[in-house]
Amino acid sequence: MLSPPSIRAWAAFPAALLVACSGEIAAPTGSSGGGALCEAPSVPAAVVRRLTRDQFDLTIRDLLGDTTAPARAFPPDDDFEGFHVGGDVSSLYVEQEASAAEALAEVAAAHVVADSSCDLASGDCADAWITAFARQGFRRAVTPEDLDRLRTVFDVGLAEGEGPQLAVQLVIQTVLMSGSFLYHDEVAAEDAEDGDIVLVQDYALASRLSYFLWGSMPDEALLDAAAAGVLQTEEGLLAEARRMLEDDKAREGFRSFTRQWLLVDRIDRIVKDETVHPEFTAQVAADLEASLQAFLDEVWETGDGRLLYTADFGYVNARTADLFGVDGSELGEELERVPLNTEQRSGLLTHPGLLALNAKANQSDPIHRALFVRERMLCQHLPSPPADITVVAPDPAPGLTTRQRFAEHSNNPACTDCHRLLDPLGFGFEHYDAVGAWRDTEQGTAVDASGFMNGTDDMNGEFYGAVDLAGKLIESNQVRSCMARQLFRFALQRVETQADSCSMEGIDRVHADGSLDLRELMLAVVASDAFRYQQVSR
Amino acid sequence: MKKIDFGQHTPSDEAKRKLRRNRIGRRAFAKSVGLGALALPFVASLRGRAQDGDVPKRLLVMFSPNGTIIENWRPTGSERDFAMSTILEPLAPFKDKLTILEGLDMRSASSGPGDGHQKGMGHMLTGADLLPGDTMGGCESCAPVSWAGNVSIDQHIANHIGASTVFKSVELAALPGGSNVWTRMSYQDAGQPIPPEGDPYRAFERLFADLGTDPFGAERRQRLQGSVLDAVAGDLGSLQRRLGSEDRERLQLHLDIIQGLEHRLNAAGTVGAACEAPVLGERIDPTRDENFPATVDLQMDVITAAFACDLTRVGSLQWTRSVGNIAFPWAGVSDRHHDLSHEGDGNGDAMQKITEINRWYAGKMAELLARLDSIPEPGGTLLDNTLVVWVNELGRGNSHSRNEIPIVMAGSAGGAFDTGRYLQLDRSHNDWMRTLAKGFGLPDEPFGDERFNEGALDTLLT
Repeated sequence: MLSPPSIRAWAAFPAALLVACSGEIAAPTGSSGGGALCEAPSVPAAVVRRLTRDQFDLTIRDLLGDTTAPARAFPPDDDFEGFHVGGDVSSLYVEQEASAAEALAEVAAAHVVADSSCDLASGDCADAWITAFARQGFRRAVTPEDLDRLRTVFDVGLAEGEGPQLAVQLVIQTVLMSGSFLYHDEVAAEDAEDGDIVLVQDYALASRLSYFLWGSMPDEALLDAAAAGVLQTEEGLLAEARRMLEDDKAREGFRSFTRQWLLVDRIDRIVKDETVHPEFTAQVAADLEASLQAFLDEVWETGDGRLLYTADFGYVNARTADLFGVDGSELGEELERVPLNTEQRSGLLTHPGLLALNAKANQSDPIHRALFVRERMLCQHLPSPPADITVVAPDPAPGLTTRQRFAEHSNNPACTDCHRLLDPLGFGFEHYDAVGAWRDTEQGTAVDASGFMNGTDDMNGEFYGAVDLAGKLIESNQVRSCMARQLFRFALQRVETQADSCSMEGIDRVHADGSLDLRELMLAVVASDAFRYQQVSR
Repeated sequence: MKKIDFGQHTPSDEAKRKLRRNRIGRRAFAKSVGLGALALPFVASLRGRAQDGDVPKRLLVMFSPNGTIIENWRPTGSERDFAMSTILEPLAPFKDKLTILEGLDMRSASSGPGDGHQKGMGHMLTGADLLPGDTMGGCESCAPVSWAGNVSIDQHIANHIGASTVFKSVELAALPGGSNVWTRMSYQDAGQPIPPEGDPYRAFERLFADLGTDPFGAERRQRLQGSVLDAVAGDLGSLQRRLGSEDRERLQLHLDIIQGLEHRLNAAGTVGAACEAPVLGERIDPTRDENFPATVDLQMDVITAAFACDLTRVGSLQWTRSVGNIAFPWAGVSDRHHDLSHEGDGNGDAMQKITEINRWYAGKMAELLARLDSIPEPGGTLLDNTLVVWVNELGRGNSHSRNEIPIVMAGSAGGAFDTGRYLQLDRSHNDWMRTLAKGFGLPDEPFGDERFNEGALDTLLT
């Protein structure tokens, strides 16, 4: 029996888990390392990870020039603290991956043969191509054993007597199905012993870097840097990271991160009750997803993470104008960057796509809107309702507002413990209906969006409405620190543990002045011991 | 070089003609789907493989989520003389082939980690505590758990009856969602969930693309793909040797699957002497809510054909997932299923809508049974040689109760189960699963958590 990939990381830091709401809410992990000696690098053991679906698709884009994103049809990656992780394989995964590899290889082989400057039917030419291709595919130096194995496949193809294209195709397919392609190979040097803390080896570190910053495989320059050993120093590693952050591919990397962190790609799947919101069509849902993506792209271009909370603009077209509360008469099909009413909108918390995602089909949903803030913005965990309690929902009472109906939560002792952390926060979003449009009244009663934040390190207290909340969130050290943690989790595909507390301290220094420079934050993650070192498992 | 084996018999000229006529290659399929040229309904021109010898027994699990409204589900009358309820009424034409089970409690789910839905889904076919963990919960607020902690009953039975078919089992779904304990019901072993295929077109390709490939093509394929698989296994092996012990197990799982593919490659041609692949028609997007009913229909076509062709003997159909939250406008319900399931008992409108949704699922089960029943086989029909089981991860949605799980069985698995009955029981669902295993010829022994095993429910068996 395999233990799930996350168990080891978890077991190392059980304190992050809350077993009941009655205690204090969990602080972000790894933040309590103050005063710890941070001289010797400290990292927990990790497990071998498979390429996620996003990583697979971007990798074959860079390796083969293929943009068909075949991995979207693979079984989904495991959910891991909001991020996707390549867990154990299943028969279905291996078969679908194999069939994608076969189809990709067939298309790619023709290009390889057409572009080759030598005759691939000759041994030297074949070896040279195989070596160059496998180096990219395996993201490391090719061993004689690799070459042998791939050459055998090549020769089987050549023996069919149809020319080298078939042989090339089989080699490409083999590389795409190999463990060296599908797994992040971070195996330590042979002389390292179980429990040793050692620098991640050259090529493995190159892959860590490129999958973090680009969501994809290393380019030639990065592989060359790995081969030359320059990534082993912090300076050398950061120099490469800076180069890569200037590359267009970094936008894709940030997209991959935000898609998972903010559930962006669920937005175009939102379906609303068509009897209440007939205007919310599939096309509107798709527009909202594109709108949020355009907003996040701009945030990335500026590099200023504070805009996530403070932006006074949005990307709007004619179909979504009403949802944003702007005049749509001048707008058409295309999304345009327009100023928004700053009384009603401020950054992503008030984006109709996210508000609609975290709402019911026909009404708002304070609980899920609050949970989104707790989990994604504050990195807090709330436990679910007690497992064996019978919670029977209250009967509806026509004419009551959402706030009135939820009074049950604060009247029923079984609910109070958790809902005191949810309802007062979620009520702050009551100006937004099920589709994220602004409303002044609900059920004929003026909306009351007064909210209360509790359970945080530095921002407890009253607020009114989501715009006010957003302004308070960005000034909170806990919120900025959470952003750093989300990047850490995305970068390393694991949750931070007590062993990472020194790494987290270093990363948190970057935003201590209240700034939220995305690139500087990413560089700090790259420079951390957690990123550069590994614990050996034998 | 291996010769192609057409099964136990040398094919007659007639069979060879059929084989050619029924041939459906990967490209032919891609064309028919990609160009949308064909939109024919499923034609039930399937014939069972074995006209003599043992007729295979099959198991098919169908899942729908969020509990039922037991008052509208429970039949009235006595064990062998009962009237169908509002929810089950669409199944009336198959009354003689049904076994309706009331009073099976998921007692194992009173123990171990997880909240109502997590335990319901994870225990449903495994009957044992979930594994502790932190991240497979399914939602923002979910309890920290990992995967189920036992093999599921369908896989336990597949290990026994699935060895001789090309696929040991086939897991299909419509809108199964992401990958977490809410979305997985079949487990190969503790901690090893089996993802279902949510796309009927991909399922078709996986199951039927190699069917009837011409012998020369198959030989060439064995040669070429065999060399690829050998090299892949070599690479996995060399990576595996360098990894730590726990990671070595992960890679072993991968290696075993590659070996399975190699085995299947070399067995190509052993199926399909007398079966036809279904025609799926123009491609729809199975990830969109509005295409859910069409996806359900197609997946039922695929599993029916897979059984008829004897490509597998164990299947599952997972309709959405635990906490499935789509609306059912095609059943007159514009609210979402899980949202509705949280409404209180006093909300008559919600109770009515949940009833409609469950009735819609019963109707789909009836269509599934009709498909299976339309295929003659020795001893009756394909349905008679199958046991179909409709399960739910909860008894009731608003309380998240895992007691009184609504279970409907159909077919007798070749006469092993005694049908045409409505039984009121008061037993653990572990005992029920143990009985399923016994009915499929496995030894009578505890299944899942032994604390909740009293003994087999022999009354279900003939």
